[in-house]
Amino acid sequence: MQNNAPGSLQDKFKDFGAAPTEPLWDSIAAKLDEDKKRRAPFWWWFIGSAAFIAVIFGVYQLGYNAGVNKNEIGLDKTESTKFSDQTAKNNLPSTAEKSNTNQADILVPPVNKQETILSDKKDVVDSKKNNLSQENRTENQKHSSDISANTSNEKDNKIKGNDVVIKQHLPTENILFDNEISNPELQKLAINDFTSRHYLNEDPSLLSEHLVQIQNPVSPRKWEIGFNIGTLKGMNSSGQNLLPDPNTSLTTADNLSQENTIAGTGLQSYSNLSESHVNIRRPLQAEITFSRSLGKRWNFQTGLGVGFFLSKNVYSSGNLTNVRSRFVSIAIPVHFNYDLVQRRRFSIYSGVGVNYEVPLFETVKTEYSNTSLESVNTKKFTSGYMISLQLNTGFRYHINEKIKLDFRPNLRYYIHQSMKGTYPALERKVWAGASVGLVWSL
Amino acid sequence: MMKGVCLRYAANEVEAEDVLQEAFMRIFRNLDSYNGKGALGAWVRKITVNMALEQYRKNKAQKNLTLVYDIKESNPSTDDGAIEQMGLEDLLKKIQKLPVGFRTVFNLYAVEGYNHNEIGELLGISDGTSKSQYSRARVLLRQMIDEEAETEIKKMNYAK
Repeated sequence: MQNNAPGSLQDKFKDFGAAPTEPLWDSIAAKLDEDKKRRAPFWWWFIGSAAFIAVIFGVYQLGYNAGVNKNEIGLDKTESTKFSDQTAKNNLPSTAEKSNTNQADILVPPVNKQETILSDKKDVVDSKKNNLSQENRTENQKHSSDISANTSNEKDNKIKGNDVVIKQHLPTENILFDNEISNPELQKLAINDFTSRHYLNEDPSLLSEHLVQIQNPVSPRKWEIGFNIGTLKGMNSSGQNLLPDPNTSLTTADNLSQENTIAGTGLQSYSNLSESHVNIRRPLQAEITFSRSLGKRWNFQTGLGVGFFLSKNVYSSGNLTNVRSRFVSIAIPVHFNYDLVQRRRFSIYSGVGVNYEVPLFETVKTEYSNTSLESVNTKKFTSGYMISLQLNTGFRYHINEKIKLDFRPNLRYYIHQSMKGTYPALERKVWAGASVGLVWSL
Repeated sequence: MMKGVCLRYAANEVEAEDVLQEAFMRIFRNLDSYNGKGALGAWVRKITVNMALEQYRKNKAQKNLTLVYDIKESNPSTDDGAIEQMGLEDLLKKIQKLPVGFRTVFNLYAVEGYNHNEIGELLGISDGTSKSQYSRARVLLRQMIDEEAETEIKKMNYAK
């Protein structure tokens, strides 16, 4: 800085000013109103995406609960029928009590719920078994205890290797067959047949493979690699367009005499660009991500992203046919995500992170209609960067044990920008977007 | 003050108001980022100058034309110091007649007080180009003063 001496031009122009015209204020007021209208759709889009995820989750959850309750009621109904004549005699828990238990179970997460159900059944069965044993001892002590021991051993051998849970249900059949079939040999056969037919075939949820999955609803894999592609859009209109907004920059009144005054500068006035429109293609971002789980729900994610920002100004009059701009940058994200909901088939997460973005290059291509001349100007950036904070809300559908489909709406707030160049859309503030991709568990 | 800045960087009042409108919009949108530590006037002025420079960059990005301005070989008879002696309104009209590149460099150096290195970084040109354009801008201003003086003399002669 210099030339600040009294009498210098800096000093002379220090307080120089003029009053803006009245139409200018009207125009500013109109643009401010327009700003408010422009912002609304983006907020609605973001809220809409979040609502969509919530609805999908809600519907899935309802269906899941309905399925679980149906299975549970089915089992209870069977037990209830089987024990209906035994209940009074054996002083077992009443239907009302069991109903209360079921309602309470609905509030328990499904993973634990299955275990709870099975555990409850075990308790009930144990209780029944104890009561029955006492009663049997009084009524038919020797015969009953022998059969109980024999059938128990048979069943243990029969289902060994499947799952201990199934074993816990078998005494209930013992009670049933004990009352209906007097011959011990026939009783054994009937029990074996019923056990394998009913529990292993008619109720596939009790097959061992399902039980294994229930024990591990979310694979505890440490590393994941992913690829996603998405788009981003500025939520504040200022400086977001890749090329000048024709509604503002190009409304300058025609002043053809200015065309001569630009000599020596490589520039023209706006005068011959009176009619134009900007066709901005949505920015695209592709990203390769690496993530590592930090405990059961936390997840650290980084990677490498490439951003392509393309736009096209189309002029319907004047010398220019159109001006294309392409801006390419790379970004390194550092995010921490937290799984809000974990299910066997899907998960919902939320996260926060920082993006460090560096420009690679910018290309501006100008086409002239009257000379069929195409001018290409490529400028490489050597300095500058942008830092943004990012909020994520994501939905992951588990296609199989290793591959997941990831949909992630996100919101970015740019906190620092120091890129230099002719690119007019470097000034960013709040951007919203979404990405979709696949994630592989390693 | 804001319009005064815009008038210096623009070729005419209409163009100045376009820049002014954009500057106002940016100020309104970013009022929350003003931390209140510095003078509000300086903050507003800086935004206005940045907006004017952004218009310059947009122009430059859109039109990659390089034309050579024909400057007379002869030195103007008007003394270089005459530029600082002129009245503001008169000087403003002459600055507006300068080519946009000359005008921008002249404003940044003579009025805003940036040095040629800083101007080079701001406009994406070399400091040598900045010096050259500033020098040519001053020559052009002196030529304009010469031409105006000659016209005045002619008018006086016709009146006689």
